[in-house]
This record gives sequence, structure tokens and C-alpha cells, in this order.
Amino acid sequence: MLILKTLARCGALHGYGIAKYIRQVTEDVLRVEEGSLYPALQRMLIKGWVVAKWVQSGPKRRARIYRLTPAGRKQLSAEVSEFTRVMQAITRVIQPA
Amino acid sequence: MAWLSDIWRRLRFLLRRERFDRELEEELRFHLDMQDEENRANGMDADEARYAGKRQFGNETLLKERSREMWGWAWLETIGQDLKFAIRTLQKNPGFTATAVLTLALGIGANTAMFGVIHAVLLRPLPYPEPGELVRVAQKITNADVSIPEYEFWKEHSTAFSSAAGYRGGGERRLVLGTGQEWIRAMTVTTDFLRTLGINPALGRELNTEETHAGGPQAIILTDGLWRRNFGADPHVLGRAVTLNDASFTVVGVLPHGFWFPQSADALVPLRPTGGLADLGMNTQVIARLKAGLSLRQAEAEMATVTESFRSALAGHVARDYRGLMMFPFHDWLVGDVRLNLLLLFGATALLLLIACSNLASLLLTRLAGRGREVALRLALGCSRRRLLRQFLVENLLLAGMGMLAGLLGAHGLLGGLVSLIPFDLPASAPIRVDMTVMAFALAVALCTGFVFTLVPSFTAARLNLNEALKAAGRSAGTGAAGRRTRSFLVVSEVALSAGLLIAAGLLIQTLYRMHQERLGFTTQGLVTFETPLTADRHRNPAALSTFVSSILERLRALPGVRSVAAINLLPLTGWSNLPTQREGHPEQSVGGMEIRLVSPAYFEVMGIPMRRGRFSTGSDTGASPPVAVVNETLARRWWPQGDALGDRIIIGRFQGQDFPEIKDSPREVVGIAADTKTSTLKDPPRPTVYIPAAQASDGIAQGTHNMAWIVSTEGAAGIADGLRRAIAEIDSSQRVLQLRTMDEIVASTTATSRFDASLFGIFAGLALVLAAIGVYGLLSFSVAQRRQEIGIRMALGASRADVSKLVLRQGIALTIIGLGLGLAGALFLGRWLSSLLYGVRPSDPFSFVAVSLLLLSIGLIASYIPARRATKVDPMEALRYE
Repeated sequence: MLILKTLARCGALHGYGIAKYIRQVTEDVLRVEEGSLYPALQRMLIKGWVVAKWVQSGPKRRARIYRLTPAGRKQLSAEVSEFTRVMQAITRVIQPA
Repeated sequence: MAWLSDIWRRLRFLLRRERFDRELEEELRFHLDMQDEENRANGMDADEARYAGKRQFGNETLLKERSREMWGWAWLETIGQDLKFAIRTLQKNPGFTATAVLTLALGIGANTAMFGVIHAVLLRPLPYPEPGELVRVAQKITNADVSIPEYEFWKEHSTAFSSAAGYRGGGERRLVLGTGQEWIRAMTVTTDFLRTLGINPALGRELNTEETHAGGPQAIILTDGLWRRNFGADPHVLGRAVTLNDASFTVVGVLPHGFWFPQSADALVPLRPTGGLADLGMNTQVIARLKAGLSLRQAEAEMATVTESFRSALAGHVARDYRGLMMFPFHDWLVGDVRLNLLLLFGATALLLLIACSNLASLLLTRLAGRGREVALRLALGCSRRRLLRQFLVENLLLAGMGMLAGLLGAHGLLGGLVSLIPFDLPASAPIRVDMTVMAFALAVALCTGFVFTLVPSFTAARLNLNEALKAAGRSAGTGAAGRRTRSFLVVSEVALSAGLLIAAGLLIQTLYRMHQERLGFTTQGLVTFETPLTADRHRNPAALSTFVSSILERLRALPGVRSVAAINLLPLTGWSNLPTQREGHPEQSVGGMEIRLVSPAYFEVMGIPMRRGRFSTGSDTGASPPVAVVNETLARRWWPQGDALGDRIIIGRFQGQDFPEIKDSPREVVGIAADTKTSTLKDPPRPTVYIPAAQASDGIAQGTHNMAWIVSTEGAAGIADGLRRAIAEIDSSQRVLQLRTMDEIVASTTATSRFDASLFGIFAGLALVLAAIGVYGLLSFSVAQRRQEIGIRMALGASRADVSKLVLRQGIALTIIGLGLGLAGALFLGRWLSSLLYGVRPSDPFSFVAVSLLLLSIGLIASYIPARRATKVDPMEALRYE
């Protein structure tokens, strides 16, 4: 969900960009092994939520950038609403009475 | 359809793998470079920046692998890798691999072969439609066959059967074919025989009611084999007349190809009641088909009702203790005697496999212990436990698979030999061979062993502590308490299993010994025997029989190398031949089934049977002289307890004052009492027997004599066979020599099953003992090697060599005693299954138990002694420095 949201907000990004964005936005709270981003991206490629494209970045380097597809957008909103629903439930439970 | 595109994607991925790998590599490199740059921009130095980046990134190889898994058949690939790795490891350890594969091949092969037999005999349904409806009808309690009046009454009155038929083994008959002849086995059956089985003839029809009544037309049904062999598969064979034993039979049917019945036969001919004594004998086997949907219990209830009406219908003619008829599922009855024996053998082979497996498992544990470092290293490098487990699984399945292949090949090659070694008849409706089911069984066994081998050692590996294992560089993993406990458990179960097998073997060997100890009552030395069938028209009347016997005896006596010859209608230990007999004037002294033997004068001398009193007949007892008889001691004791037998008279064919006219024998004077011999079986005491001179057979007795057996006392049995055959052929070219064998072979054939069981269990028990000894030895050697340091410290602190060896011995003996206790308890509990195979020894025979305990204890002691000695040789200085 985080990856999808990041792509939704920033448009096309490469893997490193996504990792960096998540790191900054969450202020290092959610520090996972950044490498695990890549298997997740591969999975989303297979599911058709994102598409990838190689772009030139600097003199001798290419970067693969990812962009959200309509299917990805739909998945994102589904996940967000599901997450909010769960969050609200949890909040109600932990709110002091 | 999702899975289709899934497969498509994965297939495509196979072709584009390299590109994928390159791109992924490039992408990850890009990420790390960017991170690197950023870190350096934040003021880290080059190395620090790189390490920080990598730390944050995680395990690169693992991540790549996981990404790849999403696209392709990674599990397939990794299994390929596992397989390659497994092959390499096994190749590096040829000794271990050979041991493991051979052990497994032995275990799986033996089990597969036994299963092949069991599948063919016990599990495969009989080749008839709805075989579950077929029952055998027999006497209640005794399970004896049925008399004709019973058969006819039940067939008419019972409502439980949709069809019923009787049959008898008809013996061999001479089929005349143009100028030649062939001996064929003809089975006599009543009408409805094929209908009951649910078999339709390929040509024609089955026997009808007229043909199966006395005086009706004679008819014959050919089997497919006989039809093809001797009638050229002639489709117009129906209605042809063929000659069997000089009588004419009309062909009315041909059986379908592949027809099978437990009693093999070449043709079916009518079973006809004679209306006489033979009908009253319990000599007809009855098979019936229950009405569809009728349970065995309902049918049983109906049987009881019919028994009651039979009793009242034949009031006065039915014995007081008549119990009526009952039934069993036909297949159960067919395999009745064989089932227990086969299951026991199967049990023994299964135990062998278990022992072999536990030995192999402890071998694997040792090996795993040696590989502890490798395992730990792989875990440290990020190999998941599941992956590790899979690696072991692949390795063990590879071993099991190779074992299975070798075992299957062995089973395939040896099954024929095994079947021919089994001394009892196997009623199998199709050839016993390694078919798909049997292969599936072998595969299942192999898979099970593979999984078990993986799971047992991995219980210890799963607890493997990474740091400990890596630190213990020189030592090995899997040696902790868990490993030792698993191995001790394995050794204990090996000892227990071999104790069980040893006890079974001991009991069976004692049975064999007891049987050989039985006094036969006759000699077997130098005796060669054979049989000749007698045909009704040419031999079965008193004069012809007498001439036939004396002419053959005379001819045989003239052969070189022959000392003396004798004749008898039935050799000891080859069967029963009985007739009702009564002491004259004493209706209360009657024997319903007196063993009657027609013998030539020299019989007692040739067989070495002493006469207790009186004489035996000489050549002067002929058809013209007064009839005489010799009784055996058992009969003499029963009828003449005062010892006044000589001069008294007996009547064959009279029972409780009632005469059987077909036998028509005159009263015979008892002229001698012969010593007892074994009658029909080795296990049973001698039965009351009357010997009468062959020259004095009455019409009825001669009629009922189907065979004559000849006993030739030779100087050396070798090479006599051809002379015997030639001599018989010279007297009568149509006469045949059957069952040519020595008297020793006859005695041996009666103990064949016991000998087979005893030797098989003996071999298995021996193997088990060796395996158990190796197991104890291996465990202790291993533990001594493990505890070198501890032993060194103990010795440095003043423990004597005796203390140290006691330490090791105690462990070995404790394991042996625990296993022994369990094994003995199991044997005591399971022994009753053996009891029907035993003779002269109880399943709880204390001698066997004590002997086996002593044997196992001493083996355990020996197996522990060598490691114990090795422990005492530990040099404390060296052991302490060793680390």
C-alpha cells in the first residue's frame, strides 16, 4: 500500500526514489530492509498494478521507473478504504472510554 | 483462466531469464550506488558509506532469488539444484551411498515381493461378477464338505441362494484323440456350476439336470486351453463325441478364455449322485451365490431354519449330533490357511524393513552430525530452514528412490523364485508378478522411508543452535541431548524388533525340531516310491487288482539295485482312505472312518514296521483262502483292551450294526497286530488302521481304490527312476508313473511349511540381530568419540580404566535391556498369532524367551565391549589438548 500510495502521489519513480520517499515521509519509523522493495515491485508488475520503463539517468546509467496503472489505482483505493476501516475499529478499541 | 496466463508467463520467463537477471542486477546496483552517493554526500567515508547502504538494503542474493521466484518456476529450479547437490554429496560418499541403497533395496525389495504375493492371493477379488456374493456351504463347526442329500435338500429349499452348485475334484482321465491320448484333469460339477460363478460359456451351454443325474447322457465342457490344444479351436466342436477313460462324452460347451477356478481342470464333466453310499459321504464341495442384497447374517438365519426342516424331513437318518450347514465368504475360505502364513511373512519382512530403516536413520544422524558445520554455515548465509529441510528431503528421497529401483528389480527377478519356494498352495486367480499396484506399493514405501528419514534427523537439526554450531568448529552438531535421545530410541527399537523376530524364529525352529522328533513308526532309508492310477474297467475288481499288483511287484523285484518291493493303496502321510468298520458282534465298537490299507505281503518288512503280535499275511492269503486282517496298535488298544484281538473278527462296511451294501466285505479274522505308524499327518497321533492283503480285496473295496503306490527298497536310490519307468511301461504302455519320489521327500513335504517359516524367520532374525549389534556398536562408538574430552577429564581426576569402561558398558547394556524388555513383551502379546503354526511348543515357551534374552544380552555386551575398550585407551593429556 505504501508503494502504491507513493507512486500515486509522486507519479513515476525508481526503486531508490520510492525507498527514499517512504523513509522521509515516515521519518524512519518504518525502516524495513529496503531491498525487500524489489520483490514487492516484481509482484505488482505481475499483478498489473504498475508498469516499468527504463529511462536514462546520468551519463552511463539507466534507472527503471515504475508508474501506477488504473488497476493499481483501484487496488490502492480498495486497500486504503480497507485500512481505514480496520484503523477506525482499532482506534475505537484503544480510545479511552 | 488465470492459471493459464500464469503458466504462459512462467514459460516465457524461462526464455527471458538472463535478461531478467541482468536487469534486476542493474536495478539493485543503481539503488546501492544512489544510496552510496547520498551517504558520502552526508559525510561518510567510502567504505562506511558502502557498508551502511548494504546493511540497510538487506540480503541481496536472497532478494534476487525472491524476485525471481515470482516470475518463474523457482521451486522447480531449486529442486534441480538440490538434486544436483544431492547427487554430488552422495557421489562423494560412495561407501555410505552403497550401504544405504543396499539396505533400502533389501527392505523395499523383500516387502514388495511379499506384497506382490499378498496382493495376488488375498487382495485381488475373485474373477467372477459380484464375487462378494459367493459363499462356500459346509458342515457347521467341522467345515467338512457336504453330502449329496444335504446338497439337494438345500438347493431345493433354501431361499437365501440365487444359485448353488456342487463340485468334486474328479482326478485325471484319459482323453483319446484319434490315435493318441492325453491325460486331462476333469472336475465333476453339478448343474448350475457356471451360473453360480456368473460365467457364461464361450460356446454352448453348461451341464443340465439330465446330464447330472444318474443314467443321463454324459456331457463334457472343455476349457479354452483344451479346446485350442486338442480341438484346433473348432467352432463346430459342440455335439462332437469324445472318449474319456473308454466312455463317450458329448461336448456341450467351451469355457471362456481366462476362466479360473481354484481347482485347476481341463474340462468339466457331470457330478452324478449314485444313489448309494458314496452320496452319504461328506465329499461334495458346495458353492452358492447369495441373493443380491442379502447379508451373510440373514442368510445364516435362513440356514438354521433349513437345517431344522432337513432334520425333520430325514427323521431317524440324521445323527443326533447333526449340526447342519453354515457358510463362509468363498474367498475367505479359499485363502483361509494361507492368509495367516502370508501375513506373518509380510509382518516379518516389514519388521526387517523397520530395523533396516532405523539402522539407516542412525547412520544418517551420524552423517548429519558430521555435516553440522555445513548446515550451520548455510543457515548463517540466509538459507531458510525450509529450504534446508527440502535439501535433505531431496537427498533422502534420492536414496529411497534408488533403493526402490534396485528393490523393484530384485523383486521382479526373485518373485518367481519366492513363489516356488513357498511350500503351500497359493490360490491366485492371476499370475503373481510385479504389476502397477505392486509398483505403487513400492513407491509408497520408498516415499514413506524418505520422509521419515528426513523428519527424524531434522528434529535434532531444527533445534540446532547457530552460534553454538559455528563455534564448535571441530566438533559436530546434532550431538546434543536430542540427537542422542533419537539414536538411543532407534537402537532400543532395533533391539526390541530383533528380540521379537528371534522369539518367532526360536518357536518355529522348535516346532520343526519337535516334528522331526516325532516317531514316524516306519523307516525311510533307501525307499523310493511312486504311484500308478487304477482305471475302473481294467484294475478295479479283485482278480484284476491282485494280478496287477503281483505282476508289477515281480517285474520291479527283478530290476538291478532293487532289494525288495511292496505295494499299498495309500502311502503314510499322503492322505486319508477310510471306510466304516465294526468289530463283529459288537455294534458299539464301530469306527466311522477306519483307515483301510490294501498292502502286499512284504509291506511291513520293507517299511520296517514291526509286528507286535501274530503274523502278517504271506503269499498264501489269496482270494481263495479265508479273509484276514492286521490291525494297528491304536485299534487293538481301543477294541481289545484285554489283548485278545488275535482270532477275533472285524467287518469292513458295517457301522453300528448297519451294513453298507456297496462295500460288501466278508468278516475278517485278525491275524496280527502291527506297530503304530503316523497315518495322514505328522502332527496327529496314529489313527485306527486295518491292513488287508491286496490279494483279498472285495469288490467294493477294489472299486474304491483309485491308486496304487509302490515302495521300492534300493541299494542306492540314484539312477533307479528310469529303470522303474521302463519296467512299468513294459507291463502296460498306457500306465503312468506319478509322484516318483523318495520316502524321505514325502516326510520332508509334510514339514515343508514349518521348515519354510522357520528358515525365513531364522534368516530375518539373524539379519535383525546383526543390524541391532551394529546399531548398539555404532551408537556407543559415536558417543565414546563424542565424550573423549569428558572421559579424559574423568581419568585425569582419577577414574580408573575399569570405571570408564563400566560407564560405556552400562549405557550399552541399559539400551539392550530396555529393548529386550519391550521386545519380549511384544512377543508375548503377539505370540498367539503364531500358535496355529506351532507344534509341541507354546507361544510363551520359557525356553525360547530365556535363550533369546541371553543371546541378545551377550550380543549387546560384545557390541558395547569394543567401544568400552576404546574408551579406556583414551589418553587424558591428548584428550584435553585435543580441543
